[in-house]
Amino acid sequence: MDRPLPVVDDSNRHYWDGARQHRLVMQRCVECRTWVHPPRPMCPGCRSERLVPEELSGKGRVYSWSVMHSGGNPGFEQRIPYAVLVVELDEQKGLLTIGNIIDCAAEDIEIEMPLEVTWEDVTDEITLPQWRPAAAVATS
Amino acid sequence: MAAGGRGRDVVISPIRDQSAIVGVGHSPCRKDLGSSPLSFTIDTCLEAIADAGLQPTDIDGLCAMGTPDEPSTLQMMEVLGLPGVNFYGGALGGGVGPSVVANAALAVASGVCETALAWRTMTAPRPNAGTTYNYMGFEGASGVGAFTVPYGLGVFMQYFAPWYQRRRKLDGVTDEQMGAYVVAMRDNASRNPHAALGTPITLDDYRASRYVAEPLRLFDCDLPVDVCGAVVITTAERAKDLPHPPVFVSAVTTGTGPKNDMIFWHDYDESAYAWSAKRLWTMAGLGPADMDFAMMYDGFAPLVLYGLQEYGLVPKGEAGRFLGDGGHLATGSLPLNPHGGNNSEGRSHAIGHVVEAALQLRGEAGPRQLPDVHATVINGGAITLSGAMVLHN
Repeated sequence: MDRPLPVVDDSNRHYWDGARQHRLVMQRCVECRTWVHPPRPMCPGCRSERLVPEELSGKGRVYSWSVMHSGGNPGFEQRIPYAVLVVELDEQKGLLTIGNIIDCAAEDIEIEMPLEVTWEDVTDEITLPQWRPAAAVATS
Repeated sequence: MAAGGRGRDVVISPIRDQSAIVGVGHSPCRKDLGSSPLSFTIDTCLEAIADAGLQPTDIDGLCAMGTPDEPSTLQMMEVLGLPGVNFYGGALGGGVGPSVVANAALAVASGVCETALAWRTMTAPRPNAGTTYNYMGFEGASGVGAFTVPYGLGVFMQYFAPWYQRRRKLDGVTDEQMGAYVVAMRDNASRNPHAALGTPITLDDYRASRYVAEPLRLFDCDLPVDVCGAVVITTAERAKDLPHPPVFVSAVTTGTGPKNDMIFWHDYDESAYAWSAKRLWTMAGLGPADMDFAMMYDGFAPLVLYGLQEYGLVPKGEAGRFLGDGGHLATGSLPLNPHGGNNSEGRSHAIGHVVEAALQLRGEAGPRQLPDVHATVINGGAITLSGAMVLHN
């Protein structure tokens, strides 16, 4: 069985439309500029309902991760072991997203490691944001 | 440290010491108890009522989680032959076992009912049987799952692993420290006839146990079992006339915030436990230093790192070292889970913690009895959910 792909609905269409165009797009509050993800109808910062899609830089850092050794996830049995990243995006403290690591062995992942988004085109409709070590980091 | 210590006791909680645990019952924790969940729940509840020196008709309040594999309050009212009840309810927030008992204590302390029965029943998954509580997560990639399931993150067991990873990387928690905890729980369980995993293991056995979601190992996870734990709570006044020494409820709390799931929680370095800790000590009129032992929820063993730190029992960042130094042993500075925890007794969502706490404070814990114990703190809940209580004799 293939891995389940995201079910696109009115709440998350901006995100998956953006991903298909290789742009990382999330909701942002027009009033107080708070980024909001996963999508919600109201800004938790100022209770404004004026949330609009906006593109992020695609930069973040490893907040945490786990290397999965057990089953239960359809489509992943053949990939075990595989790493799942929790990425903290540069735009806002506590703004987290999930992905797999590309171009990096699981044992080389480090906390706070700089990352950049990369794109996995799965179908004509669905592209998954993925993450790889940030290229050409001048200092670390 | 959180608002602890008698000296900072500025608020008199109206529920403090107004209710007491007067009876407990506990089934063995087994892969298959050989009877239906309703049957072994009835047996365990009758055991708790008899232990309290009461009759079923003395019960006028009922509390249970009401998950699908568990007999409901209405079902139990009927099978116990009660004429009716003045109170029935679920958990006080998210601590499951401790929180169903906490809700019963609140109801009794506030006068909604006089004598309440609270229980938590869980069942081991069975082939060819209906769905049981089994820690499966999202079934499809919709809702929040749209952002997790396509990456192979869809099973509950996986969600806590990145939290534990932070404690490893930021606090330096090691396999040796978590292993010291699990080895001690197996050893404690060897003195608990109800326990599912009472065979002692070594640190090497722990290190050899496979990763399920690295750094989380199989031996860090509790074993799903058939189990029921039951507790009878009545007023402090009525408790004086009953056969066992009362175990008074000093305080009950819950709390969470500000996110509603484990993956997108904003800060893996401060869990919902911190919310249930905020008012706990002030309400109790006791502080962390007054606790003679602690009953910390350990459905995943590294949850105790958060419990110990966020209830102020050890300084932030020091929980791993505390375990490595043997602070949690029966002979240590703060004995932890003398019954073996959920880790080695079996998965009961910490109702086993409540029963053990009462037995220890009654001085009736048999070969596990800790010397000269007067007060304990119990917590429950899977990191973004919480519930806690303080008990004393």
